[in-house]
Amino acid sequence: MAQDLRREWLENAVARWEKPILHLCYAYLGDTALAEDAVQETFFKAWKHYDRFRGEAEEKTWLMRIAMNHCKDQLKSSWFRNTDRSVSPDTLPESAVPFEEHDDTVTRAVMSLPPKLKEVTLLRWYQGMSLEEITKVLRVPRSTVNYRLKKARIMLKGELEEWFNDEE
Amino acid sequence: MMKNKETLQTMMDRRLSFLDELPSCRAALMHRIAQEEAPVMKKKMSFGLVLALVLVSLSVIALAAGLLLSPTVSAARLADQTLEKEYGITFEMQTFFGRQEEELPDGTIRVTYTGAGELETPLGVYTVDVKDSRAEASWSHDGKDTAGGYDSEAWNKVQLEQMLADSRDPQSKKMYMDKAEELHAKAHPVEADDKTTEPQEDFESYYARREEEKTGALKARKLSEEEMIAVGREFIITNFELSDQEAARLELYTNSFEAGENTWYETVNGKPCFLVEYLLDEESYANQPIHSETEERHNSYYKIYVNVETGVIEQYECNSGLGGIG
Repeated sequence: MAQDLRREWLENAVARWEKPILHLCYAYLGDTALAEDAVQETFFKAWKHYDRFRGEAEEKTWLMRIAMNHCKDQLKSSWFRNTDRSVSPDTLPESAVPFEEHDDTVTRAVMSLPPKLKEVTLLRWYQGMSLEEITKVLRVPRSTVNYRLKKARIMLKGELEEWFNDEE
Repeated sequence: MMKNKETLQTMMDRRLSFLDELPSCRAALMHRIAQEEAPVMKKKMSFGLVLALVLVSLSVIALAAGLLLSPTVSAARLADQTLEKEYGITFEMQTFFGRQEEELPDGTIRVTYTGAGELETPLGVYTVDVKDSRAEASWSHDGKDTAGGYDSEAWNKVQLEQMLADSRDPQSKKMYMDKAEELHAKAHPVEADDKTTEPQEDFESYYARREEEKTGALKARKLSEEEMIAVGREFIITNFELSDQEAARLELYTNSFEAGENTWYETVNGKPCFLVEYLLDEESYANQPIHSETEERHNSYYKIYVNVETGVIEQYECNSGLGGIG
C-alpha cells in the first residue's frame, strides 16, 4: 500500500514538476542530455526518499533542492561542457515556438552567469521562488542569497541594459 | 529587476520551449523504479568485502615515474589497455561506459565497463579479469551481429567511433541516444508488479555521511595539497602518455574556485583521498591539423584520487566529455 502511495505521488509530481525542473536544469547545465539525466535523477531520488519528504518541506522546494544538488555535482564533474560552448549559437537548440531576439539575449545572458549567481537568478526570477524558499533550496543564509542576487542583477544589467528599467 | 519579473520567465520559457518537446522521463523512471524494487542481486560490493579490502595489507605497485598505484588501479590500467587491444575500445570511447572494479575471492580483480544509462543495452558490458599481471577480456555481446550501424542490436567500436563523431552535434547525439532508448525499451519492458524493496538509506543521512567522510579524509591528510596535485598530474602524464606540449596545457580544476575546505576530499574504497582534477582542452589544439598522423586528442577531463596519507593513486577516471553520461 505504501508503495502504491509512493508511486501515485511520483506520478503526480512528474506530471506537475517535470518541465519546470527540466528548464531549470537545462538553464543551469546548458546541455540537454545532462538536463534530462538530472530530471530523472531528481525524481528517482525523491521516490527513494519519499518517506523523508512527507510533511517536511514544500514539494517544489524539496524537488528543486535535489535537482540543484545534482546539477552542482554534474557541473563539478563536467564543467568544461558548460562553459561558453553550452550557450553558443551552435549549441542552444532552436526554439519550438517563435521567439524574439531579446528572448535569446536574455536567456544566453542568464546562462552565462557564474554558477552561484546563475542558481539564485534561476530560482528567484525564472522559477519565481521566494527568498525564504531559496535559502531552503541552497541552504545558504538569506543575506548570501540577497548578496548574490544583487551581484547577478549588476552583471545582467551590464549585459542587458536595453531590457532594464530602474525598477527594483 | 527586469521590466518585471514575469518577463524574464516568459522570455526564457519561449527561448527554451524546445525542451517541452522532449519525451517525458516518466517511462524510463518507472522502469528504473521497477528494477530497483525487484529483488535482484546487486553488483555492489558488500560492506564486509569493503572492510576486508581495507584490512588487507596494501601491496603497492610503483610506476616507472615513481608513482605508487593501488592494486586496483594497476588492474584498471591493464584492463584499459586490454580493452583497447582486444576490442578497440579507446580511452575516449570509455566515456560512454561506467567502470567498476571488484576483487574476487580468488584475488582476481574484475574490471567491468557498463554502457552508461540506456546505452547499456546496445553497448553491453565488457569484463576484464586481471590476475598475476594477466588480463582476460570478454563482452556480453560477443558473437552478436554488429553490422548495420545504430540499427544493430549490439554496438561495438564501429558504432562507438561514429558516436564520438556524432556527439559533437546535439542533433546527431540525439539520434544515437534515441536509438539506444528504443533498443533499451524493447529489451526491458517495464514491469508493473511491485516487489519488496530493500530499506534505503535516508536522504539526509546520506549527505551527512558523505560530509563526515569528506571531513574525515581532510583530517587524515599527511601530504600537502601541492604534493598530491603533483602526484596526480604526474600520473595523468604518464598513464595517458601526454606529450610535453599536452602536459604544458593541462589546466588544474582542483581548488580553482572558492569552495568548502573539504570539497576536494573523498573516501574511496575506505581510503581517505584528495581529488586532483585536470582539464586538457582541445581548443588548445586549434592550430593542429585535423588529420594529423598522431591520434587526435579531444578535450579530456581527468580525476585522480590520491591517498592523503600515502600518496598512492587509489582510483582514476578519464572523461573525454563526448559521450552520454561519461
